[in-house]
Amino acid sequence: MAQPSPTPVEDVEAEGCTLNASFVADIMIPDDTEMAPGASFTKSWRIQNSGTCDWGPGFELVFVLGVQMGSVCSIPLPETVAGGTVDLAIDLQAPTAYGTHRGDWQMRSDEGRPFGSTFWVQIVVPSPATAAPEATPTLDVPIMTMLPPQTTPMIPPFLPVQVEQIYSQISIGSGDIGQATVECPGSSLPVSGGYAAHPDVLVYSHSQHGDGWQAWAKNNAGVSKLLNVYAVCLSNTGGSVTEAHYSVTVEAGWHGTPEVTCPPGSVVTGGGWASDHDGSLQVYGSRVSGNGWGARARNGGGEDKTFAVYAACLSGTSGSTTEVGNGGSVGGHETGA
Amino acid sequence: MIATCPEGSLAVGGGFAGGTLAYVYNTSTKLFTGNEWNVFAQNSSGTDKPPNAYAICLSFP
Repeated sequence: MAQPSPTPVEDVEAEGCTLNASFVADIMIPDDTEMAPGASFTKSWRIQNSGTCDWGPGFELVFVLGVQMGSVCSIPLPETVAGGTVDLAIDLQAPTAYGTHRGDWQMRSDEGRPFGSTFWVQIVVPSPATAAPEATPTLDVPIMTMLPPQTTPMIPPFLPVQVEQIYSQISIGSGDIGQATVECPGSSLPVSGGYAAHPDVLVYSHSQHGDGWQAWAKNNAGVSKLLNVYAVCLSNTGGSVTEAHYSVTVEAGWHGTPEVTCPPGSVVTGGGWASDHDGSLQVYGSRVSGNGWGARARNGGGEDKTFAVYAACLSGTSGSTTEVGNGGSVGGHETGA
Repeated sequence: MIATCPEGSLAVGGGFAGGTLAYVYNTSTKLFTGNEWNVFAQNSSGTDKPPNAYAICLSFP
């Protein structure tokens, strides 16, 4: 059974209407359904358009958290009038590892705004001791779980490099400042991050924070608004991520363009900035600069402001990074001195 | 705007540039099959060019 998210859920304002979605019922694969390792299945929910906007082209149900279970990361929503219900189905594949696995999904508007409850799929891949005979593990079960404890030496199984975006969501009251933080799970590395909010919410800072990512925002809307912060977490590579930063003072009416370079032997994987909650610094650039990060802002206020730039730098792996723009490739960097 | 990493690489980060009058309210990735970095902005002037999106693509030898 899928349930609404415990995170705060509210109507998201759009052009003269509100966006929202509510769980109605599971149709297929209730929570904790047992699955054989690697089994294909179809999960489906009945969802109500509980906002006042119709859903049209460009609206999607997207994977947002947990275990994705297959290659599908989003499906388009059928056109659904406000108040109507729709059945959504996703073709998924059970993980090969034993245990309980859950993946969370959420609606996203044609403008990229997340809205409504999150809906999840939760299955159990039983261990051999509890599985029915047909659930006998296949050969792609991790080697470590198949070998008896006294077998030495153990050869670690090959684990593919994985990237996972996770998020945290907070609600910010009208006129208030809010801070959202999300941590990468286990030993995964916070190589990058981002944010999503209503356009009336001024996100004035986002950067690496410990093992995750953090965003600060001021809600300039007349009602409470949501802020999502995202961390992009890299697994099975080893290595580490360090943060480099640099700040400048931007005089009133001038532009600030701070840049920071990653240490030798590391490659830039992401970055962010910190400006001021009063909105006087208008950030119009935040991207790779050399093997580091650069940000650009104009100070439209009447006082000098501090503007900082942050780079997330990955070291200790053989990976290399290339920046690709929506107009094509623009440069690359490799690990090494 | 959307920037897409080539096959064989992973979108691990991204950013934006341009659109001096646009406010970027969403900069995040759509992973796995998409392997993209998305940037959504609101243009305060109606005449300013929207920002370009950039993806950082990680690959291994």
